Amino acid sequence: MFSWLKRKYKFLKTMAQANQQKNEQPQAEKIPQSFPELRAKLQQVFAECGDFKTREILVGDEHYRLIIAWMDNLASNQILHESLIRPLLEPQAFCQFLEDKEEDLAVFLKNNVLIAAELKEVTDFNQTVEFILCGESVIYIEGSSTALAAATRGWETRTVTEPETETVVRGPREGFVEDLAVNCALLRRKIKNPNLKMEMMKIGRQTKTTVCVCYLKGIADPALVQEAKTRLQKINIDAVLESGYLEEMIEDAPLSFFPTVGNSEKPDVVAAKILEGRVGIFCDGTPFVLTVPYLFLETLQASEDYYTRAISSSLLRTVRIICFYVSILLPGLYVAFLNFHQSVLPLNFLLTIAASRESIPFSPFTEALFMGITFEILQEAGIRMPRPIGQSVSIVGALVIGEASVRAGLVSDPMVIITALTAISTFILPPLQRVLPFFRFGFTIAANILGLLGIFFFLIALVIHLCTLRSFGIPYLAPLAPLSLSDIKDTFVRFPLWTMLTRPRDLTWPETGQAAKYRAGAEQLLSKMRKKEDR
Amino acid sequence: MMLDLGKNSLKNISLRSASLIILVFFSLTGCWDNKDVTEINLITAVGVDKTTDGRVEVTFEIPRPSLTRTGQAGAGGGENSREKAVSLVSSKGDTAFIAVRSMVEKLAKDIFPSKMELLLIGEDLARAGLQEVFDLMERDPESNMTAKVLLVKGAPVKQVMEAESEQEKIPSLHLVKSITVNQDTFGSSKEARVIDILREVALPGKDPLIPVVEILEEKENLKVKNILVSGSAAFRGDKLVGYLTATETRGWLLAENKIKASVYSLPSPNDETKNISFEMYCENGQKKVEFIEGKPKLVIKIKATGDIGESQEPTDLTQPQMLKKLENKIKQIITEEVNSALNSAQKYHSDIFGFGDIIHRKNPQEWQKIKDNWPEIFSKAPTEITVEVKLKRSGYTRKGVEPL
Repeated sequence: MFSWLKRKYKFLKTMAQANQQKNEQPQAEKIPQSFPELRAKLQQVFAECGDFKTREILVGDEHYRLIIAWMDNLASNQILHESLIRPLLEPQAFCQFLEDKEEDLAVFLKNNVLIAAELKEVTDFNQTVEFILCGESVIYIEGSSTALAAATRGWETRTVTEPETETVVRGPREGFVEDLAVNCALLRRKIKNPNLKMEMMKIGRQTKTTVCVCYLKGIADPALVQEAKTRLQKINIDAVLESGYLEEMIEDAPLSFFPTVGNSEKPDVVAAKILEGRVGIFCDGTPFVLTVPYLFLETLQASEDYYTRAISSSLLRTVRIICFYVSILLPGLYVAFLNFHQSVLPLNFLLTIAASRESIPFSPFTEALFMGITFEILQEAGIRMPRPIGQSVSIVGALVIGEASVRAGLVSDPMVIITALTAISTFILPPLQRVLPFFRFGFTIAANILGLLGIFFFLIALVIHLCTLRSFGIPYLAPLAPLSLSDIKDTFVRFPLWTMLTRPRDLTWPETGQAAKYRAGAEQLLSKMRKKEDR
Repeated sequence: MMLDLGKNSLKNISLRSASLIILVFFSLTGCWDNKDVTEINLITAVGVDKTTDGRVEVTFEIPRPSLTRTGQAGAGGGENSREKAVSLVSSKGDTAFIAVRSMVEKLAKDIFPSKMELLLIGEDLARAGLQEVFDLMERDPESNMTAKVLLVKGAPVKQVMEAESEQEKIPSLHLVKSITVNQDTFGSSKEARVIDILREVALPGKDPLIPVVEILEEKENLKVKNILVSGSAAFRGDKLVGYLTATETRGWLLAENKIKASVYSLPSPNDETKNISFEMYCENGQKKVEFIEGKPKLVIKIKATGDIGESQEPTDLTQPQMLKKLENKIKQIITEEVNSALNSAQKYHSDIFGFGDIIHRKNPQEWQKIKDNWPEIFSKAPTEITVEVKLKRSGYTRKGVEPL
């Protein structure tokens, strides 16, 4: 199967490379000076685009002809009207120009007439098309090869609301929206520092989505920033509709169950991660912002940990760690103890379980699988279904499946309790929510084959896998493996803020050079592997 | 990364072989001891007895899980249905193992002895020797070595096992719990686990002492309250040699320092018809063997402190003179108890106190000389028992209320 995958992968890779060569950036093209030519060209480019609008106006005592082109609703009609058309049609506007006639009209318009906040001179026709598609208005001037692009973006955006995925009791309630500019502003409001760099790039052959790489210069490791940018630049796909597209293209271990790229919907979370030396990747069109590198311990952290007092958040951290183990191990342990290690359980407990299982026709393993799959179905239904019929799912789920299957003697009571406990534990770790069921089923199967031995076998395999993972050069289990004692302050126990005197050594630069050490190790490993390949 | 590797690369080979090994590993081990709880008969108590024709009779107490469940009335009002929560199954065979295995002829499911809590031994079997039963327990990986042992005196084992309990759904659990509580707070019975007995049988300088259960009154529907767990049986090696009474058992427990509290009563010094009772705790027993001219002397020292628990007449008992008097009397009682326990042991030639073991540890050379005829030496050895008693408190009052 692996060799098949490999062949497929290689084939697709060569295809993609060929594709890339075909899709080289088109050459720069001059803006036609004559208007009929320009009109024809615009019509050719924007043929059958119903939302493309142009307006021709005569200015300066009807001496000069201009075409204003924009996309309807992308450019705000009000801004267009107030800052471009009105000043242009002002009778006195061109007096000075008509007197001097020395200056270029484009320069004159830019300096004296138009009152838009941002005006750019453009000489490339393809670039003007791009500007129009981004919501700016382009003013073409007859007889001039220079056009002006005015910032008139003003489309409808969702207002900043509380994100539904990461709710907090205490902490800021604002969340990112779909608009990149708003998102960048939300972050900039948290970190008022010129060192907060935001580098824009366009990704997606068809969609030309704006992607913004955001980091704090002086704290983020430059090599890490460079690596993030390189990976993003290498992306060659048609569309980027959500940051998930980017995540899949830049993650370190695409075949692993564990995520090596994090995401958040909250500006405070992203700000905190950037302040720790991580790199944020904003993608236009989605409120989910990626952060790299993403380490395993981040799945156990929540923004609220830092807003509530250290003691209570440390307790919650511990609860989350317990929940991690409960959600992957509990059904497996139940199967192992009931099928292999009955003598470990106290007599009364065993009798109670035996009594509740007496008339159940299925083995604990079958039960565990059945209930596990049922829960996954219910959960998926709960997310996918339209809101108004939400109640019917809970009724069907809780009553019909839970209650009735117990009454009918298909599922035992303890299994229902275990499924419920497992499910609730899973909800506590949202980043791993889609990952944990795999391990739960894996542990259940291992337990049914070898009992506790199987569980430990699987657990060791899991730990080995976690240890081999890296996210952008940083070991996935850092700071636990490799151990960095000074970074333990923010792992199982959250130390009080006043004891956190150093930045995380794994990530930041140039405080310690720990990150450089990891990178050196990774490079060594890579070169070794390459050598092996060559042989 | 993995996908990029060449066909003959090392990593690919190791990956393939690793997955092969894992596959083989899984298929070989199979599910050989994968047993669902619904497919096994949990066994809570085992009774072993010798039949008149010299065969071994084994009785299992098998609880029926749905009837032992508490907190939920079973269908049709579980309490009133008078259905027993446990069923008894017995089988005979030339050896205990055969008897146990032939039980499957009568049972629907496999037997699972790991949760066995109680082992009842018949008197005849105990006289013939415990080894034939205990050897099976020692060899079988599924047996529970921490099960408690009880000796059934003067009745068939099965009859005791038939006794129903009103407090526990499983009668054997009632017995097990009562033995432990008894040893801790009253001292008429002692706790003995299979593993302790095995060890004591194997030790040349110590003999087992096993608690005794007997039937108080013969009845149609025997209840646990009609049977009495009291006293103990002294063994020499693995063979029963005689019985200790309840007070002698308490004497033994005091010397062994295994009792937490016990209650004594004695006639009041002021009024012979009234009694005063005491609760003694912090009992500290020590055993020693002193050698006098090469002959061992058995020494037991006991320190006890206690409270006045009850007085039937209203004298102020906290006067120093009065306390002294009471202390002396308690001292006499305790000395008498320990003495009679030691005397019985000597009479039976059964070193239940483990004096031989003490010599073995403290004077190994001496032990080599005397170990072959230790039972005789033990039975004739002089003894010394010293008891210190201290009464500390009189409860909430110094003096009882005087009736007008």
